[in-house]
Amino acid sequence: MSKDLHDIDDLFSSTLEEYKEMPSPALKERLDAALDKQEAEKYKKRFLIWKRSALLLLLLLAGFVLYESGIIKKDSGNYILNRSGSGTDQSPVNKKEMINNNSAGNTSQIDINTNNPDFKNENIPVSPNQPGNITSGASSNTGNFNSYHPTKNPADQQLNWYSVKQDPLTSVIISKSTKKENEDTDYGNFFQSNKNDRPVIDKRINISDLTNLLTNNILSPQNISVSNSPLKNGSNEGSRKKINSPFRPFWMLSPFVSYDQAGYQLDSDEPSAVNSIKFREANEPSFSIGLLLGRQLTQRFSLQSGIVYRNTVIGMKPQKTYAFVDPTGDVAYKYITSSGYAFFKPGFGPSPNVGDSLTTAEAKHTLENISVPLMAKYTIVNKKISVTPGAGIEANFITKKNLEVDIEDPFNREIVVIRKLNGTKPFYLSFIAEADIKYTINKKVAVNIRPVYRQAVSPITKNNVVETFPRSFGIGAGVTIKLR
Amino acid sequence: MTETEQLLIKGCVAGDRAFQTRLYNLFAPKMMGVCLRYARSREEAEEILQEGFLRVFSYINTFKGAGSFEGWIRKIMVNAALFRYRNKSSLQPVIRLNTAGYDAIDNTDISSNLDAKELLNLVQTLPAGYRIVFNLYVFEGYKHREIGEALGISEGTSKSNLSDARAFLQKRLLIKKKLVHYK
Repeated sequence: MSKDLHDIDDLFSSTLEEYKEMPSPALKERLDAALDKQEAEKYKKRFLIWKRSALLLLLLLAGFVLYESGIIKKDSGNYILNRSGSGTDQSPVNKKEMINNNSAGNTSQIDINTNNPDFKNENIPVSPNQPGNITSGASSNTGNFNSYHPTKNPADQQLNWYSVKQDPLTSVIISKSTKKENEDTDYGNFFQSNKNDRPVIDKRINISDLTNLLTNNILSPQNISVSNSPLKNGSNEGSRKKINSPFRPFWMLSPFVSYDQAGYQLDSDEPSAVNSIKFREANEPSFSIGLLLGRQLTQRFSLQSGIVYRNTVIGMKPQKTYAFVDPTGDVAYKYITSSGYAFFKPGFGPSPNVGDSLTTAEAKHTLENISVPLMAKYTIVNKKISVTPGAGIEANFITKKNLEVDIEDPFNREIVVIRKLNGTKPFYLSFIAEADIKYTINKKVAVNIRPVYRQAVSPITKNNVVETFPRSFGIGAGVTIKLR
Repeated sequence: MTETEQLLIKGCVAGDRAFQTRLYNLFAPKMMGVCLRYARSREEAEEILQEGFLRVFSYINTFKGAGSFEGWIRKIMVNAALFRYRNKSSLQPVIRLNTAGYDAIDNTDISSNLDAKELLNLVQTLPAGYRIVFNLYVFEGYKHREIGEALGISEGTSKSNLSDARAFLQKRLLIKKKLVHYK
């Protein structure tokens, strides 16, 4: 018998070893089409790294702009006493608007003393809400004002901003902040800054008198409500930042619930595997709930993060599964999904052997995520309605992978619940874009609707027949509460 | 490696479609023969061949010239067939073969006048698991340990599958021989 068996080996080996057969011409066409597709995918992938880099750069740039815009605003609206060592004009306004020296009146008092060691600081914040004295030495009390913006409407005096600077020859400059800055605060109630928080000139000061006083020689020390904030030699950046912006950043808390229509993008070397999974899997309505915490950095820009729970359900049509050796060495049926694969054995019937098949009935696959988004957002306000589009990245942690498979034969029916999927990554990254549409109820509360789109940029699978990139479009509703 | 092969490789590495076509025309008939042995049908064999050639063109830049170029392509085809076996749902359930009594068959000359096509059809009628093991052992020269590693089965299972496959083929050969004899 042994000889017989080896004869069979030799018979087949010698006859079929050099066997040739021409494949059908259609195969060459299919191969060419597949090569074309492969080239197209390579071309797309070549730019994928650029797209991801661009996204990252965009986020970094957005952060940088936010940071910088904050600094610029702070400087432009500062109450500053500036003493510069250079000979250049440091006034932020035009020299044409020089102060008229001929005005009379002296209802306010000011005392400037450039010999005061505190004036070694380049910029000194002045808060009229706090009393203080600034004195000028006799050698430098020429009172040469580089610029001055008088307030057109006396009633607005409280809301105007002035910069007081000192030129190299110890002249003092007072400049008013632009009107635009005040206008910036006039968006919807929700985003409006609290005007009481702004440092303002004491209303008891008569600006024209102050001008006259400063442009003429100051003969005697007089009092003015000027900040007595701590002035230290060296940098005074800290004190500047405290008062230099009319907008005060605030926090926002936004709980929400969202209805999501999920899906995925499949990549594989085997188009048939992709088609097979697409045919038998269908995403069912899913949902997400979350709590988002936002920081309104400026009138327009904000950053948002938080925590989101997402539940995705995928329905599966019946499929034929085959028995393989599982990682534990046992033989079990392999059930393949877009998110990974699982091994299972029905409670009835004999133990499977490698290659055995079993047709399952319908199945349900559930994925649960905890996600942490980080978004840069831009607010457009129109009266009580504001639209805040934003984009960013989202870190997703897969917390639960559940597969319920219905198995039945003419005599038995069983639901196998699989809680462990192989080939699924515990973490993936997504790109997220949303537009938060808010309706302001009052200064503290707004209701919102938020359409949101998510697209994974890293696959959730590894060592599976397909690489799966989940995506979803959701419509959420929630409340936004303004915090301090 | 012949000069023609070197030229073909160079052209294919550059992604030249004309060179790819020439390489395909040169090796496709032979590789189709290999794929047919691993497949259950001609359609399945063509799918394996297509996947194999896609891999050949994708990884041809990794061929360093060690060993024969044809052997390298053949190995890719075999791996494509194994990949399909492991991951695809094209497998048919393994039927329990009744091989009892095979030892009692006379030591008849089984190398009858069956042509290659008929022998190929016999191989294709083998259940998938047996067919793969038989091919790997008889045509590729794999050891049972290597087959076990490639398919994720034990060495004993590989031996058992090979034995069953041989018995199955022997039985079919005898039936065919008898049919020829009666004719």
